[in-house]
Amino acid sequence: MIRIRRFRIKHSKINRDSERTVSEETFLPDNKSQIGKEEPDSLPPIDSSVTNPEWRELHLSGSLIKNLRILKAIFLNCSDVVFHEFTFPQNEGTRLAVVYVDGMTDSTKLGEQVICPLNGLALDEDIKSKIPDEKTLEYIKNSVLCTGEIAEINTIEIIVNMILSGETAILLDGADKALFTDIRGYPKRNIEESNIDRLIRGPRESFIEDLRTNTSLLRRKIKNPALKIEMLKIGRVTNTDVAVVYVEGITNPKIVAEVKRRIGRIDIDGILEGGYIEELIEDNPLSPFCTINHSDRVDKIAALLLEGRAAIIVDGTPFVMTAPALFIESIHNPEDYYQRFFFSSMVRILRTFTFFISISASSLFLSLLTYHPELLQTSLLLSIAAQREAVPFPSFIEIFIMEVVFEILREAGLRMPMPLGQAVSIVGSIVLGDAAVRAGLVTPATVIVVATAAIASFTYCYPGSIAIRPIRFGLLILSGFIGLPGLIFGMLLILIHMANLRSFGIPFLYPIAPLSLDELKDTFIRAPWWSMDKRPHLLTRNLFRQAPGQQPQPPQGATGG
Amino acid sequence: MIRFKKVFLLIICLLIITMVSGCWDRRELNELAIIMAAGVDITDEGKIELTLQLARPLAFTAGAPAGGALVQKTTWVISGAGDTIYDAQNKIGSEVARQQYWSHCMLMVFSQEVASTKLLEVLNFIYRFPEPRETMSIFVAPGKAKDILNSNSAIESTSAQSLFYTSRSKKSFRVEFAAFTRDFYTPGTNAAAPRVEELNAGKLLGTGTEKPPEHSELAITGTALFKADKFAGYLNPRETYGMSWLKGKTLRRARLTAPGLKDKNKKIAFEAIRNHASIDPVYEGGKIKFFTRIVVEGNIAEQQGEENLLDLENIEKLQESIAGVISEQVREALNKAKDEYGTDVFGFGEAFRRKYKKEWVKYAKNWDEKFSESEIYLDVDVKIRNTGKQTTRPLLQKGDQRS
Amino acid sequence: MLDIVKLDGRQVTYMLIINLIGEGLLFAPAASFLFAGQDAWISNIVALIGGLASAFFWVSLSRRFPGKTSFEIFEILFGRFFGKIIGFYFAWGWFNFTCDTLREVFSLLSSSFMSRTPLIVFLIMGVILTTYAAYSGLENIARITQIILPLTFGALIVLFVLSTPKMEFSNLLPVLERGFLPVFKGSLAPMFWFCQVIEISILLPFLNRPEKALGISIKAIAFSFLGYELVALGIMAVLGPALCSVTYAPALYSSRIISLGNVVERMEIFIMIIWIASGIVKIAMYQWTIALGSAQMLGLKNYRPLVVPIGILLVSFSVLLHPNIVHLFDFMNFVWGGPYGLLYLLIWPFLFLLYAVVLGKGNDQKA
Repeated sequence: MIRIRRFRIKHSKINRDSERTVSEETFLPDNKSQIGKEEPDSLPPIDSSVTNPEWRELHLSGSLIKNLRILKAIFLNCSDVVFHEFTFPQNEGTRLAVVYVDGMTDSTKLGEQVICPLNGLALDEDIKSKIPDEKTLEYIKNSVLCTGEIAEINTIEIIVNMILSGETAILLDGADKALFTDIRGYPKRNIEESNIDRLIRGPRESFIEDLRTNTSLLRRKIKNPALKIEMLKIGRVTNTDVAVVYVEGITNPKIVAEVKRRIGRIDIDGILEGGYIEELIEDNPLSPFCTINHSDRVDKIAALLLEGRAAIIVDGTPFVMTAPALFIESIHNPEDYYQRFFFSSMVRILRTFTFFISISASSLFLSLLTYHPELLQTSLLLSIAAQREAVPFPSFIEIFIMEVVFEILREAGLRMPMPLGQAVSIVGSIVLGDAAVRAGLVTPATVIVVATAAIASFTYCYPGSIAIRPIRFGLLILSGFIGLPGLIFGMLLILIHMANLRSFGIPFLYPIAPLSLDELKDTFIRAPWWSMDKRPHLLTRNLFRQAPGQQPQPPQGATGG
Repeated sequence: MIRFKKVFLLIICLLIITMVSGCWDRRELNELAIIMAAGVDITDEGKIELTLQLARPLAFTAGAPAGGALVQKTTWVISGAGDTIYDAQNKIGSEVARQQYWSHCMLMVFSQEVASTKLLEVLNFIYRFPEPRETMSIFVAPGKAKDILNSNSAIESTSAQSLFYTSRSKKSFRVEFAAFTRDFYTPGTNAAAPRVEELNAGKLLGTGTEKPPEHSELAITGTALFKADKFAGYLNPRETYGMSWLKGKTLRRARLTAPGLKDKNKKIAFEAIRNHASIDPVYEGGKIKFFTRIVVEGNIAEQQGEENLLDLENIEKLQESIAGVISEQVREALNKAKDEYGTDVFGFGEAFRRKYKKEWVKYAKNWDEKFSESEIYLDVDVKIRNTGKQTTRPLLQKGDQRS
Repeated sequence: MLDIVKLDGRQVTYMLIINLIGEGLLFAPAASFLFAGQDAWISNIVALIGGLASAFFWVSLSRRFPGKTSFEIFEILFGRFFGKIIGFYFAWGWFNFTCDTLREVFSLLSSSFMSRTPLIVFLIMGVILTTYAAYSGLENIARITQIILPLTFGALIVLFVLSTPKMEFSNLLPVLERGFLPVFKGSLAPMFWFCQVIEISILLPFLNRPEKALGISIKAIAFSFLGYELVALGIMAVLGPALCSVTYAPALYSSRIISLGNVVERMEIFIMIIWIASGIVKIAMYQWTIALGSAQMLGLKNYRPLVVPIGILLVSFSVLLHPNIVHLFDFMNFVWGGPYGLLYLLIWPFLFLLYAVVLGKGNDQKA
């Protein structure tokens, strides 16, 4: 399905003036000179700017000259669009043109599979001159081209879009349709290991920027016709390809329909990353939490698809989004499903714990220190008190500054040019921290707490961690003002907010709230695979993912010795 | 929804404004004077004198101080007198730059004078004021509580910690504030608290260039017994053991020495691991009898004589011998408490109340007198579980060392 | 119906439990200890009977009028005018109790943790939370409950386990020392808390399987009863009768005593979290109830516009109703946990049910 979006911009005065009916006279110069010898500037101006919708209404006519003029006018100053014209060997009277975007087609394929056959280089002499004009198109389509998919298109708008998305157009005299063949080939990044989600055991491949490669990666994981990949085009200017992927029969069709409806509603000039779409289609746009998850791991996306989620792949970014997203996903990692379940459960509990550490460690420390020292051990209190004697700032300022410094270090480490990165992070974390403590500006305890919180925030899924980072400061301020009740207040506020969130109609905290006891097997722990018979019931209509009772056992007769 | 959000934002702004004007309970650690221990005395004018041992955090800095000479005093002991404890604390407050902070006060020492005159008045502060914790240990000092606090410890950074850890190790009787008040207020039992004294512990090793300083440590030297809200008298350490056996739960790793089987002068050391006591009151025609059973489990720790400990009979005899020592200690404690001071600190009254709730009503008012008239029967059961690393000691067969 | 949601049985059970134990678990024992001493656990059993009776009355009444909240039932039973009067009487009762609960939760916070912070700050903070939760609807409250309740019970069990070394169960003896009358007096306060199962009469129309309502309420009362017994027995065993009755929040006091291996101590932070979190959820549920009931009686299409004003009223009334903590606790333990509260929750429903049965209003189950 190809969606074509029409501009709804009101015509400016100039545009209105230039409104005219498209006729032959407009495009054909008086002297009717041969194609190819025309100077481009002899063409009448056709406004191909984004504000002008006129050319989109046009259709191909039977005249190659006219068609090429239109296209050339549209692609005026697009130096990467190549117009390759020649005569058809079987019928000298028929002229041909191959139009493509240089750099988006595979030049070997173009030569071997399109240009050479069309030039008749590989043809027998006796077939020459036997093709009548009106059957040329049919003949080329059926007998000459040896490429895969061939389409016949009449509308200029679609022709332009297809050329721009890298397909090769063949226009010929006497046909009001253009033949399209897909011999795209453009530089792509290799499929590499994800730098974001890393694991020990599990597949190494990750998505790249090319949409087709990404769908093929998914298709290789789920070899089933039920894996549906529906294409949409979004972006007035960028015409970005977006694919909605789901497994028919597993994903709740309502969710798929809702995803498509929301994406269809988008009217924006450009989609450069999935984040654009995410912010335009999520349920609670003002929430710090991601209600649409993203990842560049193929196996993770495939697993989520199999659980009944829909994926959104955007051309030009390796990050594939999934919806609906649940909070619990942020403490999950694909590796949990590959490692032994005891270990995975332990790690998940650890991540739950680190989630709380990263969100509240510094504010808890602050409120204990400044409001409730009675809750600390006596000897701990004495040692912290001894450290604090030398520090000139109030605890709140001290911890707040340290949090900010750690954010700065984290951001710097990320943005720093690669070779510098390591040096700076060492300088930042060790030298700065140590110097600050030695200079008596901060207490070692504060450094420990803040650093622990910062490190803890890297243990779980990155989308979860970026939701937490701004919240931490809010909690810090609350507990700075009113201590532990403030912290509890903040945590409850977050909890109420999270319980209020929905992602495509699914409660964000599902399956914890609304509680579904059976599905807790895949939340803070991971039960062994043979016991996880069911998919999350809110996400899918197809509840059972496997045959029951698959717990392996030793053979009955076998005895030791 | 939009309107709601505006209202919500407004409320949050209001909240932030109120909060910014506030931080009412905020106190930085370096604005706190952490009280490690408190003592209560009575001044000559009859006022309550509060003594606080304040920690000096600067002296607690982690790591060795640069150069041995810079060892600072870790505490500051300061006193103030007033009508109430709170008043006395306010007096101290005018001299201490920082706000006094009670939550980490580990012990409270009452002088004997306070214990015998004003305990009821003084106790309430800890119970009512939010800061002091109910887990603090209670002590009674025969002299001034002030002097107890004004001491140093050679091994811990403060004498308060030293005394607290000593009492926490349960080598002897200890009482937490909560348990103390529980006994204090519960009908049928009376409170008891360990007695603390400053004992000379010899000379500290100096640097060699100067005279080694005299040194004294705080030590627990028995138990102070109360009768109702008044101090009644002391038990010595041996009687304290006896009391603890009867109370049944307060001892851990209590050591005691019993005479050997062959030679009474060659002793057996016994280490009690577990002890348990049960009191069974019997009421017959106005007479109250208590059948008390004490079970002590433990190990042989040391053997001076040459009894064959591989012999089960010997073990049984030893058990009896140890049981004899224990019942002797219990007797002594009972004699002191029951006959001399006439106070029931063991919970006999409570046991009686639990069994005979109707008869109890008659005796509730003057239980302690009735207690003195009651008869107490003791049954001590000692169980030796282990004999240490050794089974029995090898016999020395070299001439006439033993005869 | 002003809120079209359906809750499953488990959600309603959780909501009822948090309704019954909410802040009551920490405070109601004080009243029973005061009268019944070490027999407070027997008081709870007596109270259980009252709670079950109340549940039976309300559920039977509601099931005669399927799909109606109690506010709507009053109008059907007594006509529009008198029905509205009774509805407002109940709404006031709810409101009054919510104010007291709010005040109670935070006055202990300010009296035992942060004595210098003005109470109003805590009240405003609490009401911001409850307003947010109530505004976001019943479904959201149900979800919050499903998170808070397990935490509450978890913390409670942790505290109980940690207290075991300090427990002396002989403190529970002798049984019935002063006869049965004190036990009965002590049962009124927990009975009032058990009777708050009245919330089922509001939640029932939103339950996806209304025929299970009675079972759900009984399950909720049973679970809360377990909680109350855990607290009554545990605290009494730790503190003994002498100390139990002289503090407002014995649970807080006994948690201060916990000391395990000199490392696990100073555990009152748990109590503080339980008590704020479950109190907030309960107040949010009541705020929602008051808003829904008022909207139904005023004939509004949506209850949401009432939530914020009710929140503001809650703050002001909880400041105004009681001059000090003594008055508050006296009112809470002996007026609510006494004639005033039981009239609302036990006697009126009985009379209403009698009235409905005698006049044959609503659809009779047996017919």
